[in-house]
This record gives sequence, structure tokens and C-alpha cells, in this order.
Amino acid sequence: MFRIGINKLALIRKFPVNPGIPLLIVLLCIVMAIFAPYIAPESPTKQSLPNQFQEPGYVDKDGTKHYLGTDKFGRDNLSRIIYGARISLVVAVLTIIIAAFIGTLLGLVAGYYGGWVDSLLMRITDVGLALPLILVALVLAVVYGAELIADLIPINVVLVIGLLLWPRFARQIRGETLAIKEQDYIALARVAGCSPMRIMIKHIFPNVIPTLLVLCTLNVGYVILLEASLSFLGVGVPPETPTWGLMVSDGKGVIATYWWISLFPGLAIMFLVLSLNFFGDWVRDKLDPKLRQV
Amino acid sequence: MSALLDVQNLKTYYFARRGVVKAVDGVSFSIDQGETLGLVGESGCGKTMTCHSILKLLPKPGGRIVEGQVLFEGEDLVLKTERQMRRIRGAKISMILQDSMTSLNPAYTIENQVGEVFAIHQKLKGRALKEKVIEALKLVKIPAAETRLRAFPHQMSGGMRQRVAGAIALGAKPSLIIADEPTTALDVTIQAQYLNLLKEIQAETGVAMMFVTHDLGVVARMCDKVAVMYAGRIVEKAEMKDLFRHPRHPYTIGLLACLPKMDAELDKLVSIPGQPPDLGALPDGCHFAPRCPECMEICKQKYPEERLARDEHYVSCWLVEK
Amino acid sequence: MNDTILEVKGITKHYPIVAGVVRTKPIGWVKAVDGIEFSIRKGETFGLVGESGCGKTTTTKLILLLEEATEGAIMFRGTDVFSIGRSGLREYRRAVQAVFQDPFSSLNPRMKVRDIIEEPLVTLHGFSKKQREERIAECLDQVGLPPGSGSNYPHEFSGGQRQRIAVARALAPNPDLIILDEPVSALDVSVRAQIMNLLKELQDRFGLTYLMIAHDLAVVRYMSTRIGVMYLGKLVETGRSEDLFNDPLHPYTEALLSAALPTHPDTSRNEIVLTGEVPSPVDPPSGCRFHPRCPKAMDICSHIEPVLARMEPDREVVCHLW
Repeated sequence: MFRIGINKLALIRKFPVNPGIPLLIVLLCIVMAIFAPYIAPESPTKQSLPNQFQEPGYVDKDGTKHYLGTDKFGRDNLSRIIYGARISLVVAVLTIIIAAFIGTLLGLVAGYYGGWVDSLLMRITDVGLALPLILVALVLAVVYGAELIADLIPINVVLVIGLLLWPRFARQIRGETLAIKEQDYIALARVAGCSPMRIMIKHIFPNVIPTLLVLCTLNVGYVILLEASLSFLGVGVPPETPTWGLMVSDGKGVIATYWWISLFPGLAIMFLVLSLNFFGDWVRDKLDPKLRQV
Repeated sequence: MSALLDVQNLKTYYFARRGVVKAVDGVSFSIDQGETLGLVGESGCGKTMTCHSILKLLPKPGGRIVEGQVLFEGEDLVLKTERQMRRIRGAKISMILQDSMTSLNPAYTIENQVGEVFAIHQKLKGRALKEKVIEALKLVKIPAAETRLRAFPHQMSGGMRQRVAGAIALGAKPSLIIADEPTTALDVTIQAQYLNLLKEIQAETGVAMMFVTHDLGVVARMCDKVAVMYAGRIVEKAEMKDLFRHPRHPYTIGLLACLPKMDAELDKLVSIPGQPPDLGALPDGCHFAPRCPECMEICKQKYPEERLARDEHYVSCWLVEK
Repeated sequence: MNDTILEVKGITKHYPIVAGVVRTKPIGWVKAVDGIEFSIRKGETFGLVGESGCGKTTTTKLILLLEEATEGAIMFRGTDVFSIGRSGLREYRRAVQAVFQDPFSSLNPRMKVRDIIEEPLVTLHGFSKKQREERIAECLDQVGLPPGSGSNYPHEFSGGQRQRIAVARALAPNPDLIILDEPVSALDVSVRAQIMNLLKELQDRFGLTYLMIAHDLAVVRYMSTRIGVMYLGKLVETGRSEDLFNDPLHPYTEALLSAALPTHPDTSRNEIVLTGEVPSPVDPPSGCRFHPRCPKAMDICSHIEPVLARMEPDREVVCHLW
């Protein structure tokens, strides 16, 4: 009876930190994105009028099986999802790098120096947080047009989301910096003669890395959703580009009859974002030396 | 005549992911009506877990009483349900904790917090409740008690907050108070005031006290009996003066010797080598053996059972003849 | 007086209390340290005692240049540290090191022990990688840690061992003065003696000078050669350790000593329990700051501030009685 108790407890505490399946899904998406031309059964842009609106499992007259059906131009849904992973992940990685860099830098500086530096940077951050994303995106789309660099990077989307995202990083990193600054080891570093630069890089930064990583993984999910929303609105990405958001948007008018067009890319978004969130929690647990001790 | 609180072979373990932490591992002691017992030990020796076991306020999930009895007024608290325990906590056994900054809720006024005990256990309301609160605050000698009712904890000093904590603990006239390091966070002069206050209240109300502390000075000042705890077990227990005059367990002897004295110039302190052990990975045999200056072969193999050294003086050590 | 290492001259620190939502402005000042003077001689341990909020920690922060003084000067070997140039400051940063109370917050959890100890050497420049390695090994050995511990992280050590790491780091740049801010109060009782003995041993070996802060009077007595007693931002009495303990001159010192609990029940003492609490440093009492609580207060005490009286070469007291 006593033994069952122990096992139960172990189970309860282990459940949320098992990274196996989420990690697998994330890896699958990455592999899909990198090797899309080799994996996808068809070109994502190949149109075929006789194959319009075919349901999942349909075999066309060339003998190609469309596992997830086709859309209104007869394009293969599965191939488009596989190629769509590219845009999603490229956007995610680039925007997170931009946002994390700017946000961490400003957060560290604001938190460490405090005073008017802090006030100024935080007001800028507030402005950043108050920008209405859709409006900014629409304006950029009108001014610069929807453009892909190297067929892969929707530069407007990256800029807009990066702009929207860095304040989230800055805020959190600043808060963390404020707490770390009060630790005795920072005072001792000053006693040892460290410059503010060295303190920020050597002492504070390594201690915000767990927070930073969690922020990154959790925000990857958010970015993918944002990218999907922007694509859904037809902003930033040329219309023929295979992205998950655009695919959901394409199917929205006919969802009652041809449900597969929207459903599968929608599920792809959901699973990837969910996996990233789980993965983020796991990363945090792993990286915290205090938690590791227990 | 039976004791007010009689703890028999209490074992409380904490089940963590990495294994079992034997926080309390077969602890027995008793407290009589109106008596003060000092439970002495270092951090992590299981003394706080012992207190929490008595009130059944164990960390969940993971902490549980595995064995033993906690007889309070003749009834075994281990067998009580959560609902029955709630009627005992605060009303019959109450607690004073170390840090009044966190043991008082910053969002409520003093009146609200002190009044809670009466509202729950005596179902008082309105005027009667307010009078009871003032009475309780007066008992702990808070000056101008009436004007303090609307104050929030952060508006009071550490000493005053600790008195409020005392008022809450004493409010429902319990027969036992468990004080867990009640003066550790206080300044020296305030500590002296507070200890005097507790002694006066004890003389007035006849409440029994269990003083959990690492400070032997507090024990010498307050307690009738002492139990010394090391790594989850009580290694020595005796009348207070007897323990200070004739300590028998090498740990107790070391503990008394390693303290600097106020009234003497010393060249070098006697020190106990090593560190207190990890409760999750205790050594075989006597837990103190790796640090003991008089460790023998048998000490490394078998834990010494408790034996009587002289009147009412129990020691768990192989050096003491049975 | 050429053996004086550090001289604190009328140093004052006032913190503003700000109010207002949009435009903040100071509405008062917390007089944390209010014009204190003392000097520390080579090879001695100067102990600063006092209750929380008396300004002893602020004093060390001022000496360590972690806070900017409102007024006054700190002379290090005859030069004012507030106005020394870059190279002078670098030398001061080498010569003055610190060990803080909490060994958990004073070691960066993400740095290896080796890097923690190396840090003061890196910022000093002028050491090759090899020299630094040697110095680290030397310091680890001096504080009694195994040579391999450099590649571990702080969380792998217990409290006492962490404090040893903190001491090793302070030793690394061969300092002249080490500030010890409550170096043992966060440690287990049985480990305290080890650390105190270590500190004394290192002092003898390397001719170190300590400025130690502690609230535990027995610890101060054991460690210090001279002691300064602070009350509400002022130094009220200084003297050689045994003189001060055997014959306290200031009524506050007397009360402080009597409030400390002897660690043995058979020790007799005459007890002076102070009434009231330490007043707020925002609005300290007029005249002598101690007069509202002083058992020997006279008329003059409430309106005229006493001046420093030099009793013997090494004895100073600020009280109207003398």
C-alpha cells in the first residue's frame, strides 16, 4: 500500500516534464522544413484543375495519392503543409533572434543601471507593447508590398513580429535583472573591481539564460500563431506561398464542405505550438540549478 | 498521571523523486501540563518537520507520517481526520513561527487576523469579537491595543509583529504552544523582552510550550526539559540543567563546547568537524559517527538504542552503559 | 598612528524617502549612518555591533564603495578613497575584500568555484593564466577545501563549505583588509566554530586585518580585538574587547550585553531589559538618541547631544554620564 503511494507521487511529479513526444514533433517539423523538396510528394504550387477539392486519400489519374486531399487549385495539401513548415520556422527563428537580442540588451541595461535609463527604456518598451500589430503589418504591406527574400524570408512579417516581440523580452529580462542585482555576488563582483559591462555579461546574463530560453520557446509558439494570423489576413506573404496561416485562410469559405483544406494546417499549427510550450517548460526545469539539485 | 503531549516513535518521511528523506525517524518525547520543552537541533535535523507532524501540517505531496503515535490529551492525533484536526489547530495547539513578516498576512489588518481564531473556534461576531481581540492584544502587552486594530503588519516593528503572532497563538487559550524559532529574527534587546513576555504569559495561563530552536541560550533561559535532535533522531534528552551540566552524547558535548562565550576570552574554539549529514543519505549506524571524536567500531554498524544515563536523562550513544 | 589601515571620518549616509506619483521628491531622510568615526589598525579585528537598522551594514557598504556617502571621508593608508584616481581605485579594490552573511546569495550559481575565486585576479590584470591557476589552488588549500573542488558549482556544497569558498575568494588577491559581514550567522551552530577558527588562523598566518559585523555578541567577543557599538546610526562606544565586555560604559552597551543570553543556565547575570523599541532613523529622538529607552536618562539627555569622551587611550564613549 505504502509502495503504491511512492509510485503515484513520482508519476504526478514526472508527468509535465517528459519532453519525449513534444521534442519529436518539433524535430519532425524541423526535418520537414529542411528536407521539404525530398519529402513532399508534389510541388506545393503545382495546380491541376481536375484535382480541385478532392478529399483525403484521393488518387488522381497519374496515380498520385493525395493523403490529405487537395485545395481549390488542385494543389496537394500534404505537400503544402510540408513546405509551409519552412516559412513558419524561418519566421520563428529569425524573429526570436531579433527580439531576444534587442530585448535582452535593453532589459539588462535598464535593470542594471536603473534610474532615468530604466525609465526611458521602459517607456519605449511600453510604446512597443502598445503598437497594434495588425495596423503596423497592414501599413508595411502597403508601403513595401508582400515580398520574400530568397524565396523564404517574408521580410515584412519578420520585421513586424520582431518589433512587436522585443518588448516582451525586455520587460521580463529587466525584472529578472532587478532581482539578480540585489544578490550578494553582484556586490562582491563590484568589490572585486568588475566593470558594469563585465557584471552584466559575466554575472547577470548567465543567470537570465533560463528565463531567456523559456521566453524563446514559449514565444516561438506565439510567433507561429502570429505569422499564421498575418498570412490569414493576406499580409506580408505573396498569395501563392505555402504557409499554414494562408492555408487555413484559403479553406475558410468552404470549411463546411471541404473541411480538410483548413483543418490539417490548423492541426499542424496547434501541435507545433503545444509541443513548443511543453518543451519550454521542460527546458526551464532542466536549466535551473536549484531545481536540478532536488 | 499522563502527559499533555506524548509523542511515541514518530516517523515522518518525505518521499521525493530521488528517494526517501527520513526527516523524523523514530522520535519520542513528552510534555506535561504547563511545562516547557526545548527541541534543539541544527537546520535540517528534522525539528520543524516534527512540529508539523504534531499538527499534521505536512508538505503535500510527499510528506507523511509513516509510524508512531502523537497522543494529545490521551487521543492519537495521527488517527484524526483533517476535519477533526482543524478543530484542534489554533484552539488547543497553536504555533508561533520565526518570521512574522511572512506568518502574518500583509493584506489584512491586525483586528482581522487576531479575530480569525475567535470567529472560527468561538463563533464570535461584532462587538464581542472586537473585545476579545483587544483582550488578546493586551495579553501580549501591545501598548495602546485599541489603536492598533486597524494597523497592517507592515506598519509595525518586528517585535510588535511577533507579539501579534503571539496574540493569535494564545487567543483561543490553547493548552500547548509550539514556538518554532520565535525569536531568531528579533534583535537581542527585543528578544529579551519577548522571552520575558512568554514566561509571564505561561505563568498566568499555565500553557505548555514546545520551544524549537538552535540557540542554546534561549533553551537555558526558557526550558524545563531539553531534547537534542540530530539527523532525524533525538540523541539526548534530559532536564535542562542536568543536560547543560552533564551532557553525555558527544554531539551535545561538542555543541556546548563550540559556542563562543560572552564572559571569557578564548584562544581557540573546540569545533565539530564535518557537516551535518544529508537526511536522504544517512550513514549506517550512528548518524553522528562520521563526525564523532570518540567513534568506535560498533558506532559505524548499528544505531544505538536509547538508554538511561541517570534520572530522566536518556542518551542514544554506545559510550553510555545500559 | 602609522599602523592605521583604514580611517572612517565623520561618514554619513542619508537615504531619501520619496513621495509623489508623477513628480517624486524627497519628503524626508533616513539617517542610516550619521557621522561616525573610527579607525582600524593593521592586524586587528574591529567588531561593529548593534541591532538591525543601526547602520552597521550601511557602514560596510560605504567602505566597500557600494554606496555613495552623503558626507565624510574614508582614508585608506592616508588617502581619501572617494577621490583617488583609477589606479588608486584598482589598488583599493585589491586591498579590500569582503565576505557576506549568506553563502547562498554570495556565490554566483552559474560560475564554477574556480572562476569565482579567480574573478578578483582577472579584474586586477597583471596575472598570467598560470599564476592565477596556482593562486586558486593555493587559496582552496588555505581554506581547507579539496584541490578538485574548483571544477564544481556552488550548489554542490553545503553552507559551511560555501562560506569557505567565499573566504578563498576574498583571500585570492592578497588583501590587507577583509570586511566580514555576519560571516557565521547563516551557518549551522556546529559549523560556525570551524569558520571562526579558520578566519582566526588565516589572520595569524597572513597578518590580515578584519572589520567584522555581527549581532551575536559572543561571536564578536571571540573574534575581535576592538569593538564599536552602534545605535541608530551613531557610534556610542568603542574600546578593547575585554574592557568593553567587562566594564561597559554606555548604558546601551550595558543593556545589550545583559540582554544577550548566556549559553549556560548556571551563568549568573544581572538583567537589564530595555523598554520600548528602536526608534525610526527617519526621525531620531533629540539630544542623545538613546534617551527614551535609557534607564539612566537625565534631563540633559533629551535636549543636548553628548560629545565623544576619550576615557583611556583606547576607550571612547558618547554619553553625558562620562
